[in-house]
Amino acid sequence: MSSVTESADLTPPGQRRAQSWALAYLDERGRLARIAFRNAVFGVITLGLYRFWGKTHIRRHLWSHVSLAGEPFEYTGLAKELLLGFLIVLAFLIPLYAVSRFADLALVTLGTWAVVVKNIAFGLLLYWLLHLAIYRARRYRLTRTLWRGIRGAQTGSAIAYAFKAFGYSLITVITLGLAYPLLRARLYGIRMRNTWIGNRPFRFEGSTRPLVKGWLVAWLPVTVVIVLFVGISIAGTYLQEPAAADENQVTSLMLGGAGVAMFLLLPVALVLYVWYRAYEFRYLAGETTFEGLRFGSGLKARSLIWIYLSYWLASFGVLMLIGLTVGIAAAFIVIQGSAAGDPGTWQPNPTLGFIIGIPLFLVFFMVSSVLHVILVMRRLVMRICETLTISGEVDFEAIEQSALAAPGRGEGLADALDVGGV
Amino acid sequence: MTTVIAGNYADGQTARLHPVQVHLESTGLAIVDAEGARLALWAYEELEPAEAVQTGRPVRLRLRDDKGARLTIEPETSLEALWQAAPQLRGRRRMGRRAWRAVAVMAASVGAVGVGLVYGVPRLADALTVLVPVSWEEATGSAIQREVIGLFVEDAAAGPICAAAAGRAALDRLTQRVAAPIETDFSFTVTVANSKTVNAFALPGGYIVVLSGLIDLAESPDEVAAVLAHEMAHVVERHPTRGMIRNTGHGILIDVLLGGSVAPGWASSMGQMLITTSYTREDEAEADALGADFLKAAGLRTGGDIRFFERLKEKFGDMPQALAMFSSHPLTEDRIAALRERASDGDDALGDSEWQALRTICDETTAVE
Repeated sequence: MSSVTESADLTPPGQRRAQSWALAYLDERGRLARIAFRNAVFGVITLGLYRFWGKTHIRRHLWSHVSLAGEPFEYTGLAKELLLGFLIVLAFLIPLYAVSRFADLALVTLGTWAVVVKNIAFGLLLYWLLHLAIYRARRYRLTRTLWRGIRGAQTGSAIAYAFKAFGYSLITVITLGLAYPLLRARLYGIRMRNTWIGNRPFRFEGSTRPLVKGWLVAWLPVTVVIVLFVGISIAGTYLQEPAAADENQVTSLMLGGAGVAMFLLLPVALVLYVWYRAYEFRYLAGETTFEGLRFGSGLKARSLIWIYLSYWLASFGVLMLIGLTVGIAAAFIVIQGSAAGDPGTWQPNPTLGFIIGIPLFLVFFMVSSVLHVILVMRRLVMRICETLTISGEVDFEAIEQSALAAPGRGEGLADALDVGGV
Repeated sequence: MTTVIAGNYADGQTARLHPVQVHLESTGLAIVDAEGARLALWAYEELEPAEAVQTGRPVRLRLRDDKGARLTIEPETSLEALWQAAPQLRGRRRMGRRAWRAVAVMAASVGAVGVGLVYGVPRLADALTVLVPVSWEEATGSAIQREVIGLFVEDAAAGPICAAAAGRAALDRLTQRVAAPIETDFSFTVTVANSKTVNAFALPGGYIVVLSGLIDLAESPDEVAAVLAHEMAHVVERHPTRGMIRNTGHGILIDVLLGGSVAPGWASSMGQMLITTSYTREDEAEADALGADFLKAAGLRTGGDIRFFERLKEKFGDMPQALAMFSSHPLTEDRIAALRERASDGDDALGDSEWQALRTICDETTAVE
């Protein structure tokens, strides 16, 4: 059961063509589900080692099912490249983690504050490395992507990118999140301007200001509510106990207030954030060009929200199902037990808990990873393809094969740091 | 007789797509464009599928030495002649069995590495413990002690440390008697913490924390002496430090497996790490044997611990109070048998009045220094 939303149209020799191009996604859900299921099962059996093969198969499927002007994309990456990348990164990550853990032992003599400081510093280092990994992983995927035989490419220094990302993140944190669109627009610009199809680069002409409007819609209500909540909590305690003007109290109050507010606010904030991301995607896509082609997106927030919501609901449903079966089984055991001995003396047995709990957890993990591929990954690709518009002219003859060398191995750092994405 | 198939050709030099006629010649595919110019000749043995061949979908071909050139053949065409000339294009079906075998090999190697690491980490920890200076152990122990005690404080109003003068004196005397025959670089500092939980811990550097619940449950000073001797044995053999290093090793493995996605070290405070340190079976057996030796050398009665554990089991069974003690001092058949074997006669650890004083050590409490 497959559907092609755009029929193959063989173009005449690559002269300039003014027309409307579109991305088409060929939906073969059954095949994809089978790949995802195999990935899940093998992944668990091999304690995750299979993931390099799993990722490669999924990418190959997704890439080859997206076509532009009738020609599908192609993923030429190999699992062994990902494995090699991982092993190399491991060789330097293990010493790094070892130093960090052993530093705990040495620093504890100074006091637990020293350990906390070291952990913060280490966390910041990992955050910086995360962006390094993202940029390098993107380069790997671009160089393994072919369209009409032409390879993608990415220029630019990953280290410079990581520093810029770190800097913009710092600004975002200092401004309590207000500067987030700055981070998003700037980093997107760096990434896109360094993205090439063959020997031709993408161009991005956008700026931060148009994004700020959309961001305020999402950020302002949430921040105001948090501030109000905190203010009320502090004022309330002050009115009760004027003597309790201790410094520790104030900070713990602030944290407590923010915590409670966020818990109540969480679903609303999530929806607002997803709304912003759709808004941002439409803007950024609209400011992106390639040669004579202009992009545009009609991606709607509600489709994004529904994609994630349905995934969480489905996962929740699976969890409930598992819990129900366990509950019934447990009740059964209790009844059996009390028939034999004294009712009411049944104690939870930790070993039994492990024996039952771990397989159930694995089942849930496997099912939800398959659901993620089918409900989230696949539908995101589908929606983006459906709503992306490409218009203008391009001279295909002018786009030549990239002369840049492609990295021989891939994504080790991104894998080791659990960077997400496809 | 050559067959002619229609298709598209991308030469891998530019993004231009050429509609072509593909002639099946004797040595390979001749790719001819609309004007009749021969763009390329692809030898049959060099052909590879660019993506898995599926019925109903266009067939995409590339060369073994891939420079980006792609040939697409439309699905309607009958391709029997092509499959005959280049049978390797169809041969991708056997993936199933090969995949299972590869996965089995992977699972086995991961298992082997895992087992190796699990066994390797304790050996490594043993080796590294030797290098740790006593001064570091003492500094660490004193720093952690505060944290460990904090974990068990239930009553915020009363202080965490039990410090009634007579009780402290009795405790010091007991400690001295048990430690008398022990030759070690460490000096023992025993603290009683105000908590209903039944347990006792040895920290690096000679710091021993006994929870008052344990003293409450004991019915004679011999039992407390046995516990003290056991913990002192841990200290002398440096088991706490070894445990910490071993835990650190396991922590590194977890970091690598989870890819740093769990914020490093936030959750595992030093004290908690030590509490949940599972001494190995060997550590426990060693401490049992050595502890009994210490008591004998000091001329004290042994076997107090077996009475204590039996009472603990009787009174609390599998309840949480006992669980804590038993999880760090598992009462296996072997251990019980070994404990009974070591029971021997000797002096009382404390006199009656001193024992009573020790039992009331929590009448006065102080904060941690």
